[in-house]
Amino acid sequence: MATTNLKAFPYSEDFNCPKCHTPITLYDPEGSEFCVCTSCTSFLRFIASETAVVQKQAPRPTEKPVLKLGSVGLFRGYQFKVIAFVEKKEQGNPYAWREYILYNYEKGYANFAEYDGHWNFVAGKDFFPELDELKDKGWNFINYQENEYTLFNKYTAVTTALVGEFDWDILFEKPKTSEFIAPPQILYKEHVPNYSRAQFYLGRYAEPEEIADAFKIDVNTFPERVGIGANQPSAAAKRWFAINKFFPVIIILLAAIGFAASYISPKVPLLETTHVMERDTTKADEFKPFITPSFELTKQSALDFKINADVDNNWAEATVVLVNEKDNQSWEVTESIEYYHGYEDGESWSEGSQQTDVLLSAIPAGKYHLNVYPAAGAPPAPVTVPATTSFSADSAVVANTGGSTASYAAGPALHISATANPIIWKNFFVSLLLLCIYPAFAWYRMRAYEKKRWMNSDYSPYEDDE
Amino acid sequence: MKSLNNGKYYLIFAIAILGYYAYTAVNGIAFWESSSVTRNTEYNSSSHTRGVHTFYHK
Repeated sequence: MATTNLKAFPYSEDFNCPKCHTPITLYDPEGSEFCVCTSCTSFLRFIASETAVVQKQAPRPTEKPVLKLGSVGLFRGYQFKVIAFVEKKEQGNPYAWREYILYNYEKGYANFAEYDGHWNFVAGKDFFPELDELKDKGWNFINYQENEYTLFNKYTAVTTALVGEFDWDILFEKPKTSEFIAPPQILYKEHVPNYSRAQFYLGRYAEPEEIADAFKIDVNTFPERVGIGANQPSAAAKRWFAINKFFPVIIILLAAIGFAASYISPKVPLLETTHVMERDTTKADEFKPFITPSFELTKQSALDFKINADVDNNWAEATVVLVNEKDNQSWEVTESIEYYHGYEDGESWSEGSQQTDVLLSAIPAGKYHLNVYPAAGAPPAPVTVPATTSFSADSAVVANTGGSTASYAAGPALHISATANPIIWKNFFVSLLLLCIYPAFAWYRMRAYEKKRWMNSDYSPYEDDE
Repeated sequence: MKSLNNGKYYLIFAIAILGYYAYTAVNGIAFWESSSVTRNTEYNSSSHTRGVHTFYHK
């Protein structure tokens, strides 16, 4: 077992390799039970005090370690010394990663695991005592400290090369490992055959800059990052979860503002007038203009006009001019109303409407009236038809007058109403849309990132979306 | 606090939108009024002076 509960690193000791007699430095001479000769790569075991025997020939690492053995750094509040470097791979798969065994004189062992340039600081129950409460139940999810960890990968880890010293037989162990992620954290569940209980280790994503800074080495010597790490933190997810917290409050505020405004400035009916359009006998197809009664607007407001014409298989048009009686400012709008209906091929149809709406923005306070210039289509020729509906040979209904003669010589009646302080729903929905755009974008980015992350897993929750 | 930091740009944007929405709601401003509205026209085009034709005045 690694030597712990000390106040400083123990003194290192040198001894000679029993095979090649090269001096080997042990950084935890009391605690280390196994070590590898840096010269002949013999995997040595200390069977008695200072007596080492060759266990096996250890493969030499294929890559140069970024952190040198014996280097010391202060990382996340702990003093660590790098005492070993291990290369591992998944059994039956080419996926390989590297581990740097870190020794702390108070707590014992931790490690840096590096895969494709992504680094994790991993430690067991010596550093995170709560891990001891976790039990092996074969979950797909693990709840640990208010986080839900999701199964990401399962494999059997094999040590392929190593150098340094250890307090356990790392070369021969082949732990069945499950990885559960809750970025930026990762839980490793390791079950070593012949051991009844699984061991849990907690990893946290580490930026190369953080490690380089702790161990005072050049960050440019670190391997380049490839793809997305299993538990690499996502800036997109951070943004989304932050926005997701505020979003409901913002929407409630938007609705509250709308309600408050309609309470402070309630709707005020200003005008309600009906005028039967009167044909101008001096001009063909024209109707006499008319002026509505005056109405008073007490404060700047939006104005909503509803123009209703009782057209029937006909059209009407009205140019309405809102005139300020004090300074002659005017607002002019021309609106058409069309309403047609009939019966064709066994089905009733209709199109258009007898009503139209006009919204005027920010009309200043003052006294106003409307000048209305109406127009309408030629009235349909008066027809007399039987009491039942008749159909033409082309199956188009001409009219259903119930046996009477229809006459539209006077033109349709025009009903105009004006309301101040209407609820402007368009403002509300446009604001809502604007407020939704960025959250929708953030969610999309977050999801795209997570999909990419889970592409490296056999347990992706996004598989159905592919 | 972390959430505030991560969502600060959205919060600023949202506050601006809410502020403008409140301003338009109180002052009767529509983001878009009916497209056919024209202001201070010379209806009938018989007058060459700015403002409204004398017909409009009571």
